[in-house]
Amino acid sequence: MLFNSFQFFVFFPIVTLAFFVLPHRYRWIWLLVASCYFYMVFVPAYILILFFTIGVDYAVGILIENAEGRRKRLLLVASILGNIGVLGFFKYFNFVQMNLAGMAAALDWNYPIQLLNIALPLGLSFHTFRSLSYTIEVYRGNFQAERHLGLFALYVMFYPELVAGPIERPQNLLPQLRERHEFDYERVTDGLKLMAWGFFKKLVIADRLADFVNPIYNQPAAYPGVALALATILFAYQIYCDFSGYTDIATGAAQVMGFKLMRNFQRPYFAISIADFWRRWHISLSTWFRDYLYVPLGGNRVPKWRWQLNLFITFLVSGLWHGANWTFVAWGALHGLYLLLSIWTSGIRMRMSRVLGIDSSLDLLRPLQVVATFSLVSFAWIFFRASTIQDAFLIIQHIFSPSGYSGTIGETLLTYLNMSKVGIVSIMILSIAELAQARASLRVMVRSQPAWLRWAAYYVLVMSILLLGKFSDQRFIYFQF
Amino acid sequence: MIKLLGRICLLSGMVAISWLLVIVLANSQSNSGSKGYLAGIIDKHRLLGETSPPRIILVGGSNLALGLDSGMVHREMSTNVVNMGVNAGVGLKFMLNEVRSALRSGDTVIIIPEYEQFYGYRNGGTTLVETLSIYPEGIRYLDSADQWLMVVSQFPGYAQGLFLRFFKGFGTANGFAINRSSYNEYGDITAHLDQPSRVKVADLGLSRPGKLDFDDEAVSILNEFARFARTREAKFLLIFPPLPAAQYDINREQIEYAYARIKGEAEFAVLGSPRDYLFPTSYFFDTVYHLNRQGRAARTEKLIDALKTVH
Repeated sequence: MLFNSFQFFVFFPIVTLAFFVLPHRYRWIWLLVASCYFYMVFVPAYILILFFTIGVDYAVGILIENAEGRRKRLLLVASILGNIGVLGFFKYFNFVQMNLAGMAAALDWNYPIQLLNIALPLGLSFHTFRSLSYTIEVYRGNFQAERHLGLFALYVMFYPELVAGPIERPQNLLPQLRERHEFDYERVTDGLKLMAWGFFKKLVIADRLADFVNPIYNQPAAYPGVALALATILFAYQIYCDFSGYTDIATGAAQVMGFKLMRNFQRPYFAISIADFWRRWHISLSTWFRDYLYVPLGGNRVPKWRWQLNLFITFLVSGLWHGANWTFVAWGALHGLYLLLSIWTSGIRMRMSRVLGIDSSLDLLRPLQVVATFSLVSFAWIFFRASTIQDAFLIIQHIFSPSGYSGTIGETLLTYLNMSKVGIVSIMILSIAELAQARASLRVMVRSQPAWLRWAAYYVLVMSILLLGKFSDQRFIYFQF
Repeated sequence: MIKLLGRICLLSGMVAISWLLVIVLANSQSNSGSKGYLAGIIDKHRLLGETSPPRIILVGGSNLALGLDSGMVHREMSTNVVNMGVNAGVGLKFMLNEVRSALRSGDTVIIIPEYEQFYGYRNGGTTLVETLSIYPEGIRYLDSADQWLMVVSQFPGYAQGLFLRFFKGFGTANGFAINRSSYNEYGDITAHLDQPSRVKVADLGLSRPGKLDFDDEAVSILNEFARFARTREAKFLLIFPPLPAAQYDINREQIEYAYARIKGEAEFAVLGSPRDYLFPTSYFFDTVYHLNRQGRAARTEKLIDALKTVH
């Protein structure tokens, strides 16, 4: 089920109302049934995959807790193999096959390529990672194995975060599933407002921008550099609003019922460096890779060259997690390279800013850092969005070629800006809101306003969504992961 | 909770009143609402009721309204013709249900569906909601939960479309107005015939890349109607819509797949193939289904030739 669907519009109030009406001891059953239904709207049979990973990790968690030494490690390996195996099979089998076939063809070998005609189960990458974090935390002794199968299943399948995160840690969510949550007017209305804001980002900004970006990126050879450059910048906001919008809806829906999910975005396009960007973007994933890949590889507690290699590998794998395509690997590699370059050039950059006299002027330095970081991130998005590596390089070539800006560039730019005006105006509203958030939480700011102004804001927000939003069941970008 | 429900009702009320205002204001425009292009459905139903059988009843979307010379069909086939085509956005089910109760012995129903009907549009879209807002009697043609769900879920999209067009103006996008009064005595539109071609050929977006999202239910709906037509001693046959050859090349796989499925599963006559109705891009007006004078004549002649093989 998509959040931006009529079905969810009916599903959410029914599930939430029943949640508050039911006695506490039955609520977990209701939420579990609702989550199963939520998932089965996509492809019903795929729930068996979820049941498989839940079953394996529930059993493994208990066994790990009672085991020691080698047996304990073997159980963890079993859980990792089970989860990664499922992920690998559904997500990467065809990718591996096609690459092997390509290599064989290059070597003039006969490789009878066998591709599977299977649809990727939605949210597979998210719930397997959620499940894995559970077994790893139990292995590390940071969390006690959950004995209640129903609650564990609900931890993995909790519908707000089921298909696109945040990737919750067991320490955060599982205890909350046991707590009694009562109706609280302030908390519920805050949750609803967060959902409305999420819908605004998704339906008004992301989906309107997609109308502009998709035709250009689907046929990049047909567009001049100025259009490709604009599409790239707008895609940066499309993916941010799409994903953070989804997260806001998920977080708001959970909050309405009294569950607090982890923050997944922290104004990423105000980052002052690539490292800072990754502290603000898809935080649940970046911290997952930090805790379960980067740190086990040695993190930064190893020789310098090894530390930097660990960083690069982590970003490579992160890129691959996003999709079975070399473009995602290239995107991850580029971010890894950015980080390495920032480490290698940190001394030079500090000296340069001292020489230019901007090191002591935050008012000047910070905007420059934000613009530079945004530019680097947007450049990397080219690989993320392009259909193939060849397309990505073609887009880069067109963007940086002077011929892409010849002729009446002003007029051309105005034409393309006009085509995307709803999205652009909405981006400006979003940016103003996020700038304001630097001083105080948006919710606190809104709550401190007089009632008539608050109601006017709610009215304008809802009417904007209804009159300017795109209601075409457009999937969330991160659903494909 | 009562306080929250009260506040939600208040906000919903404000929004609902605003929406109604938008709909009323938008429908009062000269090329909208009961005066607009979609309102032609009202007159077509009257025409269907007033035209005596045996009739050739043409069912489909705007490929019929803006792409067929029903007068030529009438003269060549010596049979009354009623062109029921308005907009494919009402969906396959709706357009078939529209003619169901009017069917009489000796009638021939020719369905010429746009390809989108087989790739996700059989229940229609926002156009169905807009049509029902102009022609509320059309509600009786909704006979499945799917269609009702479509109408309810597409209501925001409909109100939105109205809101945006209200500010941009109605029916003047082509530089001239096509509205309810543009239909002739058969239900054809002719105002566009001598306009220059400005069609853009691009992927119809029938399916996701690499997929064939063919709607299995669409052929079942056609078969069910064919069986119904037989109980009324009426004929039912399918002809493919006109398309630029360049458009066919882009969506060849989906079109040929649809053709293979229809041909293989149809319990009714399928006249010709999609390739029989391919024309040069210069024959088209503003969309890949709307024909100018030259295209309309060529297409109508082909259709008549096909009909003569079964009549």
